[in-house]
This record gives sequence, C-alpha cells and structure tokens, in this order.
Amino acid sequence: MTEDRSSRGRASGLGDRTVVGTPGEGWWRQALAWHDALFVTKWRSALQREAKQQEDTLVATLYLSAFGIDDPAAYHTLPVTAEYVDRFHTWHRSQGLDRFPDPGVCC
Amino acid sequence: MLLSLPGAPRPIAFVGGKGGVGKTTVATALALASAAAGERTLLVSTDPAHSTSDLLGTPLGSEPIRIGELLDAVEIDAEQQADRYVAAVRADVHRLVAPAVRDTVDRHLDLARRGAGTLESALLDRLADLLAACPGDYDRIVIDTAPTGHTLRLLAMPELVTGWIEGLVRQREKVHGVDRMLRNMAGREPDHEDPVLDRLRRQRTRLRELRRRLTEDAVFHAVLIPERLPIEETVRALPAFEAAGLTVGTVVVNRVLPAEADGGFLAARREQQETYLQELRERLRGRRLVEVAQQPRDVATRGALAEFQAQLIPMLPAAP
Repeated sequence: MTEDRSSRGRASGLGDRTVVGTPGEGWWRQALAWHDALFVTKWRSALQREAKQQEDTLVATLYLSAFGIDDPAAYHTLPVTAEYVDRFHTWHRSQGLDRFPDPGVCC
Repeated sequence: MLLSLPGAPRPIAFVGGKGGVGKTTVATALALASAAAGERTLLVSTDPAHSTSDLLGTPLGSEPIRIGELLDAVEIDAEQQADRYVAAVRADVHRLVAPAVRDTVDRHLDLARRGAGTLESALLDRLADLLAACPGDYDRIVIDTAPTGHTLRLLAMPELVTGWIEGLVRQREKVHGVDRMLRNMAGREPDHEDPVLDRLRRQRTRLRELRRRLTEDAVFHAVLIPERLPIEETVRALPAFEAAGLTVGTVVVNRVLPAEADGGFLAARREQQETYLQELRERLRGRRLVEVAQQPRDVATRGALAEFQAQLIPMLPAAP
C-alpha cells in the first residue's frame, strides 16, 4: 500500500506543513526543523544575550569618564567613543538625565 | 648606523628642565653640535611660545625645514594636531552612524577636543610620527620638552594608555567573537572586518611602538641652574624617570658664573654658587655632569650659539 506523502508531514505534528520531494528529503527537512526548535534557537538566544552583555560592558568601560573616572586613553579611543556615544546617551536618559548633570561625554 | 647593537648610542635625546633654566638654548645647541659632528639631525620644539624659532632667528612650521648643514627643525603645534585628529575622527564616525545621531557625536567630539588631556595626547601623537623618521631620515632627534613635571606625565602616558586600550581590545574581541559565532550559526557570510576593533588594535600598536622607542632608543638630559629649587626638582625627578623605564643621560648645569666674573656683587654670587655646585655634585653623584659657563652676553644669536655648543660636545656619545 502506497503511503500518502503529504500526510506523513501532518502526522509528524508540524501542523499543515506539506512535505514535497522525495521521501528521504522530506524526512531530513523535518529533522532539521525539530533540531532547530529544540536546540539551536535556545542556543542562539543565549548567544545573543551574551553578545548584548559583552557590548554593554564595552560601552560602560568606554564612558567611565561620565562617572568621574579619568581616562588617559580618551584621545586614542575617540573614534570608538564617538561611534557608541548615542547608545550611551539613550541609556543614561532612560535612567533619568538628572543623575548625570555634567558627564562631559554627550551632554 | 646600526642602532640596535648593544652599547650603540641612543639616537633620540630629550632635553628637559624647569622653565627658564635654558633648555631651549641647550637643546638647540646640542642639535647644532650633533649636526657639526656629521649626524643628520632634527630639532623638535614642543614649546608653544616659539622660543626655538626666536633663538634661531628663523620661523619654524609644523613640517621640518632645513635650517643648516645636516640640520632640520620643526615645531609641534598641539592645537593644530588636535584639530586635525578630531576632524578626521568626525569624518570617519559620521560615515558609520545614522544621520539622526550625528549631532550627539559632534557634541561628544567638541567636549573631547576641549578635554583635559587632549593637547598632551596630541603632542605625543605628533611626536610619535616625527620619531619614526629616525633612523631613516635622521641619525639624531633632539626634543626640547616642556618643564619637568609635564614631561614626566607626557613620557609616562604611553604606558598608562596601552594598559587601558588593552582592556578595551580584549572586551571588543569578546563582542566580536560572539557575533562571529552567531553569524556562522545563521549560515550568514563569515564575519566582515570590525572597524572598531581594527582602530583599537592600531592605536595599541602605535602606543606600544612609542613606548618601545622611548625606553630603548631615547635618553633624557636634564638642565638645571645651581640654585635651590631647580636642584630639588631635578634630584627628585631623575629617579622617577628611571622608575618609568627611561634612561637619564647628562645633567647640564647651566649659567655657571665663571671665575672672571668680578666685583663684590658677583663674588657673593659665586660664593653661593659654589655651595650649590658642591651640593649638586654630591646629590647627583654617579650621573654624568657638564657644567656650562655663563657668557657675558645672552645666548640669543647663531654666533653665540656656536660658542655655547662647543661646551656641549661631551654630551654627544663617542662615535661607534
């Protein structure tokens, strides 16, 4: 008895997805989709959080002068501080501008 | 000239001292003596008051000009250097950020331009470029630095700064590393260059090179006059320089009243001076000392410089 290829996709629990092509190819795509949902997506989010945190640390380090810490490297890191300054500016305004009355960084 | 051989004379000479002790005269005369000894020499003035160009009777600019046989001179204009640098950064960053953000960037750059350490950093930046011309274009570079306290901060700065930038580079590498993993996972193209990381690495390399040159290829000569305050300041400063990894050369005792200076007033002065000279020789024992006699007239012309420079020949290392 020949199996209905399209029903195989439905039977796997992936909703209305219709599997096309050869049977082998269809199974492989399903397997990839399961793998992605179970493992890769979680891992990707974790990495994205990690990337954000690392970047936040970089931004915080760049703007120590806004917290009154003298930065002897300010001249040499100027291209980097200038590029990131709007992110810092947005962040400190979200914290309430009055906490940085004279940061000398962007305001 | 093979400068990397052990014992080879150090080709970069800093001449420092309190304001008014004669370091401009000594630096200029040393440069003249060096050129007269057959070395292609560059005299660098860092004094914003243009004293060197007054002394030479020739206007100097921010690019080296020929002022004598085998001798070029240049002034570092820190304000101009800072303006140029900030303008270049502004152009770079404006290309990278959204137009709405450019005003914030400009505000930041204005504040940075007027910040405390900017002029000193700009001076050091320009100096790094000029030092690169030795040994290629020049056998010796003589730098007329500002008074001692400032000089030490200036020379200590590369070490402070490289440490700071090192931390930023490592942090940025972490950011970049994670970003690259994300891209690989998403099947996107392998990472494009990270211009921020490139910039940080370039600055780090530049500063490491400057510190290397200052510790390996430079010597620091100190100028003082035989009086209380200059003696105290010099005795304190020299160990501090050495602690920072710099090499101290000759201590030049300037404006020593010669025995021929007569009259009751000068006799009293010479007596006081002798006390100071004894003290100085004692407290700076172990250092190379050159005592330079005061002239009847100010050293303010090329002719007077020619006589003055003869007294500085002991400061030049013996030819290899």
